[in-house]
Amino acid sequence: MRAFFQRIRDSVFRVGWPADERKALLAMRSSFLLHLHAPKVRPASLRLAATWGLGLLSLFLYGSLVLTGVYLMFYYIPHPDAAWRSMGDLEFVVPYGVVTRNLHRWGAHAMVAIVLLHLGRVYLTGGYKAPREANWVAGVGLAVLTLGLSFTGYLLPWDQLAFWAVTVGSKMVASVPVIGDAAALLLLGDQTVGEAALLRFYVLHCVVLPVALTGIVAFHLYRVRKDGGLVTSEHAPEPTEGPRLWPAWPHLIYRELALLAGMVALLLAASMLFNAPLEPLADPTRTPNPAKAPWYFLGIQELAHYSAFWGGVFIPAAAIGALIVLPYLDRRTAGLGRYWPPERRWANSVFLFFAAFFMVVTVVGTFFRGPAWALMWWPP
Amino acid sequence: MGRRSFLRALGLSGAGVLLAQSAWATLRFARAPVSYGPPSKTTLGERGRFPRGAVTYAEAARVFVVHDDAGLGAMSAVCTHLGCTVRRDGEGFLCPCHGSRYNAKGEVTGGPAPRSLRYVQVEEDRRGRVVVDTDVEVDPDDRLKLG
Amino acid sequence: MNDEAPLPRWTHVVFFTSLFATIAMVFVVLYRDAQRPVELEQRLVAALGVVDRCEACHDAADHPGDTLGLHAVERFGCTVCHGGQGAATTADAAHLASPSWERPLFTAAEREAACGTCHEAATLAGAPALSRGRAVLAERGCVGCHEIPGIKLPEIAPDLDGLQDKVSPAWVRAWLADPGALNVDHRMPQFTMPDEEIDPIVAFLFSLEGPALTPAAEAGAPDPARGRKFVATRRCATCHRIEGRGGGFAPDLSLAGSKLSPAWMFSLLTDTHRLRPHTRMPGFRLSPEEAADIVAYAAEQWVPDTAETPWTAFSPEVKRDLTAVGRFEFIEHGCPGCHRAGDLPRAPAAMPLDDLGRRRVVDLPLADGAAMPDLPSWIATKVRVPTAFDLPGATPSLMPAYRGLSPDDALAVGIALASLKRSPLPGDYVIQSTPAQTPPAGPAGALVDRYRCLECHELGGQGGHIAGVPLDGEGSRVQRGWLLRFLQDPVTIRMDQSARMPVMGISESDADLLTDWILSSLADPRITEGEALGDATRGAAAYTARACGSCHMSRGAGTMKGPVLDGAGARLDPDYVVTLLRDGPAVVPGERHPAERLPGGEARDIATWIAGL
Repeated sequence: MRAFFQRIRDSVFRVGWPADERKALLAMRSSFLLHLHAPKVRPASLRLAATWGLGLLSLFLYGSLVLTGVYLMFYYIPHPDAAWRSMGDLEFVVPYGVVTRNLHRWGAHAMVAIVLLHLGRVYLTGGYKAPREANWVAGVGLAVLTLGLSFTGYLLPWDQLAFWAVTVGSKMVASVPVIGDAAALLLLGDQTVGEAALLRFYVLHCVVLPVALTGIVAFHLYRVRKDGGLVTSEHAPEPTEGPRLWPAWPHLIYRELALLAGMVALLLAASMLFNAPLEPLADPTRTPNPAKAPWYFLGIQELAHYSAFWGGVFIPAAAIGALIVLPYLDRRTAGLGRYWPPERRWANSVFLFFAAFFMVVTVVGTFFRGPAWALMWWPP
Repeated sequence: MGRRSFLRALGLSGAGVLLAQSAWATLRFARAPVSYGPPSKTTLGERGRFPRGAVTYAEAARVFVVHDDAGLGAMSAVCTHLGCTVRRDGEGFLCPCHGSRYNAKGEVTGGPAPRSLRYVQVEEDRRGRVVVDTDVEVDPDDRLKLG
Repeated sequence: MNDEAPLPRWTHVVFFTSLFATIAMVFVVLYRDAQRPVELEQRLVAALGVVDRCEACHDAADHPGDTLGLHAVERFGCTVCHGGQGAATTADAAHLASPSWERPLFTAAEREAACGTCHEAATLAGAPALSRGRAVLAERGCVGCHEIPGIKLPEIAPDLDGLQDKVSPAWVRAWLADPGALNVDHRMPQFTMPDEEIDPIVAFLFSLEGPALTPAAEAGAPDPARGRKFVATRRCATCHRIEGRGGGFAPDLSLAGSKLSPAWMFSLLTDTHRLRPHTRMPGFRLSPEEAADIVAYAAEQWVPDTAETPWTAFSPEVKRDLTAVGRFEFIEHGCPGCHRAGDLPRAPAAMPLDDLGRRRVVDLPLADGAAMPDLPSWIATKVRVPTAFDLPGATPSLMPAYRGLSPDDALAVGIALASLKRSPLPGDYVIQSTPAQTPPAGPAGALVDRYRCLECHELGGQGGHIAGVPLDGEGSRVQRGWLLRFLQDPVTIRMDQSARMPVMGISESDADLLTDWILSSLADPRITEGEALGDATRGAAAYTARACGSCHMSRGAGTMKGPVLDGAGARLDPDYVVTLLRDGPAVVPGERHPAERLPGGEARDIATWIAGL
């Protein structure tokens, strides 16, 4: 009998518990999940400050969002007559409905924040440079997809907040010269945000964008390994004693598990303490004042306040375009792997300036805009 | 037991507990305590809809309303085999799914049906409308007497 | 394991702390959820989009009154009438306002307004304030400025064409400044208008040409004393207040002398509907002498007008400029909503109110920070003090003030308006008002219009309520000869009624046509025809035994609480008397008769006795 179970275990885990270095290396090669990592890693890559675990956290958050999203799909009905009611069901009758929705909502906010921080970290350490240009572009694509997932998910509760944020967003799309109206029509499936738009956003949010994101994530992870792992500084001190490379098990894997456990705990704690907002049922005849997008779009909304096209479309599009062409223009390879190397002062200053500008407009849009988008000095 | 294997056992059992919790929560999550299905009690309308001596199909509750000399009765149109809706076939009833046959009183005359069609409770509400409760089975001879 | 590079301490701390914290938190989540009920009752009304879980705590069987008998909870749920969040499963979430649900439980006023969402008829038993509110909306001419579904604009405001023939500019100025100072019963609301707006409006109004006046009578000297007698015999006081008495339906005639020009008054009396095609006043048949006497009587009550007006001093150019400005101001203030004037369309100028019921108090401005309990109260305040919710610095509201409106009527208006929602209800939930009856066609219809019968009498649910007797069924109640005489010379039958039919001087041929129409078209099918006669002597005894004299007057005995029965033999159709005594008072106008039902024989005896009176 024991042998029977042993055979089953061996068929799944070919190596067994990696108690020594040899087994650990074997496990890293043979296990599906583990083989994403190199069997051995540089100690410099293992320092928390090297990455702050941001890329990994993005991945974990994405996984948790897929999981909670699937749970929510069991109760969510993508129709204007029923969507908001199913939010009420989640709140009032479905066991753990509230906490599931909270996990999904706060996880989404956290993912947007961490993906953007990850992008910033890679930029500052010069991670976009050869041979990592393509992976950098993929990463920019992932950031855009993350924002797209967030935007499409925003409509689904079909409350006032959702309806008006998406109405405002689709009008920004429509403000693009020449193709704007056609693009908005393609997105909404109708002239206004309604039944067709809800269904489109639902399919985009639950199928199209996650599939695209998953595919690009696979490419992204693959290229991280193939491009030589984490970008590290040539100035990083080599270990004076001991081996130059450490086995990934347990040094990398256990750190990752600790991050995962920490993230789950924090997310769950936040979801138990704070409930995801739900506003009244969407009412196309009554615009709340002010109608605000989620915080990470408020910078764009603040800019769009000055000009729907220039602020709402052109500047964000130009920023994304600049990030995409950047690795093909900036080819110097000095100062990699450090946050503030003398060789990259200029490049990093420009980036930080734009980041600070974007943060300022976001803060203004979030805290200092009252009814009718008027400036006010005291947040409500 | 060394420190290392203790930590390993602790971590693995913690993960096990978490897994068990999640499994339990998933099962609970999947079973919301409300139902959006049709209610068992259905108001069929004024009694004039069901002429004396006739058997009238009431779609709203999937019942045949029988109005005979003794009063009103309601015979479920749900086949006792696998739940399809039976249809009239001559004097009796035929299930289109697997060919179960019932006579005019709903007794099985052929096919795989294990028992005769159920009779369910008929009542009148305060305004004299006919109400059936498909959850309450009654004797096939029970009738709501009409004043 | 690589002993030279041990795992850093933080990984252990983070991992194990997080793992066990997560396990603990999940236990808390599981425990919290275990407190909830395993099964929940909910009311699903798919047609109304209702999912109500109120019955998790409340029992529908405990609902007071018989409301649920008519509104089965299976068909309506709870929140349609009661508000609140039906989906909620905790008391606070279900009853109170929250960020996601700004519709807490309805107040009493909101509950009554909710009735009106389905019930579209003007009056609804069980919802007195709603019915009252709808009546006030019609009476006060709110529909002049606001589009309100279900309410038609009544003819309450005079046409303003030819105003120059009717009144003086000084009077119009004074009226626009403060109508209450000129007429305590004024129906026109108080507009807030400074003089610089009033003068142009006056100039505009005095530029409007009206129908030509009738030339004055040439015969003899008019006599005010005779005029006063005519006013009494024609029963003008049924509608107009005269010497402080009567009225309530039409302007105070004691003010007429100081307001109206004699030539205009004379034209109105002799040729009413040519001068004023839309007036509610019947077309009296008055001789020129009679009219001249009445005008003389009115002029005797003239109060000298002391108000100064710069009017006469204006040059024609100034007047022309003022006219253009006045036309603008006239439209700006929404005057054409109620008054016909020149070629201006009678279009509502203010916001339509057909979706007011969906507004929520939280979205509406507050008066001095004072919270409003519900939407009807907010509307009531707005109606009584139109500027109450003006934002500081904003243009003041143009809405006029309805000073005479009582707080109860204002709240009733609020309830009626809060019931208006544009959202489509499933057809079988809407209880529509009875379709409007078209007035009779042909020559009889022309006479009904000429004598404005339906201003006082009800017919088919339409028409006025000034007269106690609706026209429906009148053809079965009275005899032809009596009706023919009555139309020409209406004698008073019901001493208990304050409104007396005016003596309009209906000609014999007109009376003949009207009588034919009433008898042939306005029968009451409940009155059985051809009842056998009984015994008059037994009838007289039964009349006494039943103490009919405690209300009726006959042969000099009894009281005048009910109609006088002397002469009823020629007046009442005996079949009607038998039916009402035997089958109860359903056939009596207003059901004003004891509900007692007499045996058929006794009813026939009494009817036979009355037929001899």
